[in-house]
Amino acid sequence: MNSIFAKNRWWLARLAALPLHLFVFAIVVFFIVRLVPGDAAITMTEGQASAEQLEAIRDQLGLNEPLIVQLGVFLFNLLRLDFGISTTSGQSVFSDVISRVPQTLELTLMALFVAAVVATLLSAAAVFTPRSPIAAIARGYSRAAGALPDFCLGIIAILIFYVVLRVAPAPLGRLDARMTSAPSITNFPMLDTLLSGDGALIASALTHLVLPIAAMSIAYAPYLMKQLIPGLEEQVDAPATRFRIASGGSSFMMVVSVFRRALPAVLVVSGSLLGSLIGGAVVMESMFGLGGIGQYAVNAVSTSDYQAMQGVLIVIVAVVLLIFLVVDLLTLILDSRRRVGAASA
Amino acid sequence: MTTQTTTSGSPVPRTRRRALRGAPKRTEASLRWWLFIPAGLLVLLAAVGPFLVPFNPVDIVGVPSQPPGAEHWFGTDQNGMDVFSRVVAAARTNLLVAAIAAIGSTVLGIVIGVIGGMNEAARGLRGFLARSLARAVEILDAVPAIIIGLVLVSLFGPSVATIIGVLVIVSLARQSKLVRTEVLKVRGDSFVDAARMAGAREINVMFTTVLPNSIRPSFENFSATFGLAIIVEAALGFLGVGLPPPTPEWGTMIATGAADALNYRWWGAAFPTIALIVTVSSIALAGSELLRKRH
Repeated sequence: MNSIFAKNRWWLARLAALPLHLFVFAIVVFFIVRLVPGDAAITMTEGQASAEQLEAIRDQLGLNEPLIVQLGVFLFNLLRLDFGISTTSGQSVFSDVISRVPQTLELTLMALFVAAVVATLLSAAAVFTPRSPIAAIARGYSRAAGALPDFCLGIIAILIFYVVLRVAPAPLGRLDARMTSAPSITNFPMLDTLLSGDGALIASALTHLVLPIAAMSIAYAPYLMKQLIPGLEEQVDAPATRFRIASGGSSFMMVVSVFRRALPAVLVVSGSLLGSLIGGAVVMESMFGLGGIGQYAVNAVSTSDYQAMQGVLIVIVAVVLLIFLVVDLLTLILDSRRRVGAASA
Repeated sequence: MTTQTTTSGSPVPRTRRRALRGAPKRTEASLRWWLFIPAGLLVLLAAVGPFLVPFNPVDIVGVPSQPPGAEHWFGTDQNGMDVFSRVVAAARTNLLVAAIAAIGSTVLGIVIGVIGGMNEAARGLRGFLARSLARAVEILDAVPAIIIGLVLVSLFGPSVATIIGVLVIVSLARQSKLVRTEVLKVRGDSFVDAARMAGAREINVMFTTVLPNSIRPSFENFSATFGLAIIVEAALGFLGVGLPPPTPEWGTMIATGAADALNYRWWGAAFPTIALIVTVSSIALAGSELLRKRH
């Protein structure tokens, strides 16, 4: 166990799994798209092309080649990040998709951050002040995990704050219609807006994001609390806590130490939650007209743009797997017992 | 919670100890049957509701976009269909499709979980396939359900069969993972060896000895699966790839209503949204009560 490889095996093995998973997933996507009933050439031309034209399109798409050759070409193109040309925008699918990933990711991360803050505060109230009314509310709320669909909350938010109270802006974009968006530096729209330093622009961007982020964090905070509350409860009663109390540590110290020990489990949950959050962001984007992957995917679907859908699917999976990798590595760093071969070492 | 150790004479001061103990533990009595009433009423509504509604849910029966009133209790949508009749009629569609999908994904998840779990440690191709299956399920679980649904429904067309298929696929991963974990725990137990020594064939060991002892988690997760299926089904409808209109379906109705909400007409979207939340909450309530009894 002295070689460098053996020492670092736990994260090297995890890292190597990512391209393998993506490769397998790409093959699955390839076959699913080819499983679609009907002739792709006829679908693309909506049945209005002559036999020669159809033959030409089949040639162009490589549909006349044997399946294994098609698969090879498909995988080779993926390696070159060539996902084909979107039939609606006429641009490369890869650049279309990759330029929209930051928008979706930003929305997702902001929602996760707000959800994490809400979940931490409420869980702390539930565990450290167990007899307060807030604790009862927090426990009830944590049981609502899965019973508050994010897109229902989004609609309710629009109905209350836009339709009835008329305080929120129309759910039709990231900014007021007469404003132009900030110059793109990082491709993350909110970050770019903040960097522009334009007060009116920032205010408008924030007011457009309040409702979708609130809807998402209200929907997903209970999932975190469901994990955090039992974790905190267990740690509050753990020997380490009693040691701190016995040795006269301050209650602040105790709370910090309890949270630190409850953290790894919550990290795993928030990592697996990110997949659902991205799904939620996709719905929010088309509900509030925020652009991003969600609106792109919905547009691709409504125009039967198969190349674009295929690209969206592969890129989203890549993003999700990458996030999982980061979460896994973080957990491994925090908790060395989970590492491969740790038991024998 | 491990309150046992705290109650014995531990060095923790009494006052602190009380603060540390967490919420008071309730004594678990018998099943609180009244918590099943909402879910029961919902099933009843899905069964008989479509026969009792005042208007045909797929007909244009009045002036478009009327606010709720004496004739149209929930108003009319932008096509002039009666919102109340549609919300009630959609209960059957939404619940039935989701229920079939939840049962399908549980059954399929059990089969995949048992076969995968039992062959996990096998040598050669069998073990390799089983381990690949586990990885594949993990990847499937990682992909947002909405994205899978969007792509599959748009590829294969928005029919009831496709939507059920999509819902089965998106909830399959969780169910089979739960069963697989349990199978991995159970397969080394002595009763499995006993069955083998008694001469049972491997396939019988798999399905009559291991399976009944490892399906409990997937049953416990059934209500969550059902709820998720309802939500994903409605979300797909909202994104425009649900059951084709004019079939009454909550998600599609919410989408139509949301377009109308831009003109400050709230009723088209509000009622199906409320119906959806009430449905999902009732199922979660019944499910958590079923689970609570065991612990």
